[in-house]
Amino acid sequence: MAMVGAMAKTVRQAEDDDLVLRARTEADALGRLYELYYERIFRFCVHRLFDKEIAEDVTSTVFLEVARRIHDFKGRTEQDFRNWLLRIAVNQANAYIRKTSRRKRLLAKAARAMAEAGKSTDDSSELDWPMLYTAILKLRAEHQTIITLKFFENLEFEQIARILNAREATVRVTLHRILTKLRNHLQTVLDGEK
Amino acid sequence: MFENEADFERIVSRLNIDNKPNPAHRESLRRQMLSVFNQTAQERTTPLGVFRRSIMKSPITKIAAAAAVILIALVIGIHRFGGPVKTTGVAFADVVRPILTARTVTCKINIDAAQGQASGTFECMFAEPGRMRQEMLGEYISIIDLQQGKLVILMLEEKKAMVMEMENISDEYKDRSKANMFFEVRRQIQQAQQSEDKSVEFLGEQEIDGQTAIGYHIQEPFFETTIWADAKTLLPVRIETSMPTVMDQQITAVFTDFAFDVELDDSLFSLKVPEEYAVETMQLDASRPQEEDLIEMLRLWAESTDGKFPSAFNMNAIKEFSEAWAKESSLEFGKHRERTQQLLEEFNNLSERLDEIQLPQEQLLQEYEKSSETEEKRRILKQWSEECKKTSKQEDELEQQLKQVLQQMEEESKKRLRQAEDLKKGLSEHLQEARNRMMPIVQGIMFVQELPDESDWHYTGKEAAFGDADAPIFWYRPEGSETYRLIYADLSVRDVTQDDLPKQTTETTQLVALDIKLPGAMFLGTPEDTRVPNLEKPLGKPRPPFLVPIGTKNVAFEKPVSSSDEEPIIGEIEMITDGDKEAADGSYVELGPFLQHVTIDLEAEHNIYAIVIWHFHKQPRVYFDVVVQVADDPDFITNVTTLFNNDIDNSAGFGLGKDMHYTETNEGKLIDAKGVRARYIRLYSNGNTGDDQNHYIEVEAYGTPAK
Repeated sequence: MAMVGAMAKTVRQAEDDDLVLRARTEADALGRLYELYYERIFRFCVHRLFDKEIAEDVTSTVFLEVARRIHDFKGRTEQDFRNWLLRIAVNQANAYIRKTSRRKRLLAKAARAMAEAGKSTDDSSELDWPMLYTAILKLRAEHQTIITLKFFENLEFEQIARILNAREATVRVTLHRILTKLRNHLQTVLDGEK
Repeated sequence: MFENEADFERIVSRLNIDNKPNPAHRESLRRQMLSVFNQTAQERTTPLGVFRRSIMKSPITKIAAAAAVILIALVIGIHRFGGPVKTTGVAFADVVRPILTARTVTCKINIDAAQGQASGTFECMFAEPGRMRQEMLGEYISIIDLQQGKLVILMLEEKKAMVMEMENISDEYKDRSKANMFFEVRRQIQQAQQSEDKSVEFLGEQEIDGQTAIGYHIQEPFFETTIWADAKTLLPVRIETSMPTVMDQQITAVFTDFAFDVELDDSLFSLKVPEEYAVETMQLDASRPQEEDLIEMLRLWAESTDGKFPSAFNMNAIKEFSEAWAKESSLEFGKHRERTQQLLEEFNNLSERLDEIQLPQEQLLQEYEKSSETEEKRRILKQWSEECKKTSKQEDELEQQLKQVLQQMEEESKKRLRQAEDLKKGLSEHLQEARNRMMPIVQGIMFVQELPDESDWHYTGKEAAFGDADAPIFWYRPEGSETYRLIYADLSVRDVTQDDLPKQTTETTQLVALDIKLPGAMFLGTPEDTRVPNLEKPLGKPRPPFLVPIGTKNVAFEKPVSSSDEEPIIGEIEMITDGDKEAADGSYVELGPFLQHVTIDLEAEHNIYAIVIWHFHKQPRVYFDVVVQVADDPDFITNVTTLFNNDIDNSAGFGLGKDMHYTETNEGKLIDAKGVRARYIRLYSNGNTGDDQNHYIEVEAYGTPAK
């Protein structure tokens, strides 16, 4: 059974790789890739941008960019495509929050959500999503990305390093520093709560 | 709260996040995406080949910008030419042979200019002698024939054509011009071969555009080119070249889809404009710039900038002038609006005065109408008549004035309409302006740029006022001459001997060698080959003396420093200006990875002559994206000047850098700041060849308090 499972995996992998190669010229193949990745990219955008409507907008930008550039995409495997797609999503999300006004808007939304959550729950010691997002948004864009890719998308360090064009060891060390900063930011958010 | 990664993971897994997608968005985006995909595919499969249209909303802006770039490139390009073909190194010679010997070439060129205006993908054809056709599908075609000294640009949608006739191109330049990008690449290869292949590096095998290719990298001071050729046929498949151009920007051009020595019909290079096109013709003097061009440039500059002269004589001056020009244009528009407003106010004042004068008459008429007594009516009529007589002269005068104001308002409005029409016409206006305003500036700068070192030219006009007959602003020694030509701020010129040149003996201008106390060297010999592109070759000897005005000292010593990384991994930010330049542990600060910057506040404005940076010289490392800027404010908004930039791919976002990568040594990197006036210094970097972190041992800024 194990061998059948491994073979099925290999066949699926080969099919996905083929899909990536065909997607450069065939709309059907691109449509299939879209189905495979839409949800993942949307989820990533929600985690980076908090607001679902904004996440939809940025998801749209990501896939339209893919449609425009896939003809020239040089990767050959499904993994290449996944990394490329996530890199586009990372850049688009960062581009969105780079503007202070937008960042402020996101913070305001998170603060509103935090206030509403505070009304409906009795357990105020538990960290909730708006609270954590507020703290994450205080980090630098690259650091926010690392947190999202590592803990929300559950990617390995190696894949994060590929997406960010950095060394694996750098991502590991940086993450350690980011968590320290995040802890401080969270403390500030919690103090603000009280 | 959390203690470690595992804790944090648990927290995240317990979060309740609404990240369920909306099926309607999913479906509508799918349709939108596939439509964009099909549209892009269609554009790529047109009979003429692949075209990626650059987004430039106004075709007028685009064509005018393209033409202005060509205009300027023409003047710069025609003065640069290569030597005879010389082939060394068999494989390299084989690879470049088709490029050097082909009579015709077709290819696609993707141009990526830092400021976007001339960016895009073009279908290009080159044919000997000196002909080029460049086409952007549906937008424009440009044909240059240097033998005939003519350039034709056809704007396809607008059915407009610009014909430029170049006069006085000398024969030697006609077939080797930078105006023709393919021949420019050819020139670069020839130049590399002349330097006996020292600048050519074999890159080995790599997959390029789906095929196995071998590559060669050419590194010369002013350009960088990579040639990839099919490993089997040795025919070029891709050429990437980047070169500095005017406007302080770097242009990167990627050539692909080559076909050599194909049959190209002469009609493709026909300079005949189709009958239905409206034609604008202009002449361009393409002769080598002379001293009078420099004087004309200085006059035009002073007249356009309120009696000032350029800050320096380099390509940045073109940018400086174009900014001043843009400012002047907006001032012109402001003046026009102001004038209209004045006329309107004048009209209102005159009308009010007329009303005042006519008021008693009006009142009398009303009284007349109300009155029923005949006698009373007569009296009022008589009074009215007297009143009219009394004011008639004044009324006539006012009415006359009103008429005049109305006329002026009409003229002003016509002028505005004309301007709007001109703006609509665009091409003619922009090109005439480019020729009349920009070209003399470029010519003047080219004159200075082409002066050989022996000419001993000096420029001191930055602070001079136009018209000052006693202020020398420029001098040089013409080739073969014993005497110098000395130009004054009133643009008069005198022949003087070396002894009669302006003496630089005042305290501020007397120059001395900068005394930099160097730390101990931590490694010996030539640094290992770091395989970093665009890497400066080690000098192999101490840096030559750097001259600065007497009294110059390190004004950054113990000055406050801030950083984008508030919590350095190792050390303290203050170490950057503490005077300790040794590479020992405990002497450097380590900042986190990715692009980081440090900012030094000199606490007052200074004239800065040199900035010396020691990132980390314990090992021969190369730091990436080193950008050094100065500014008047801590946020780097006002008077920002970039002094150094070796970011080769614009990843730092300050444009493609023209400076080279360099290896860290105990000498530090000395950046010539040319006396720039500023208070804040900011230094960027983005990792290095050893690791992804950013380090600083010391930064020194040599300057004097600003006067």
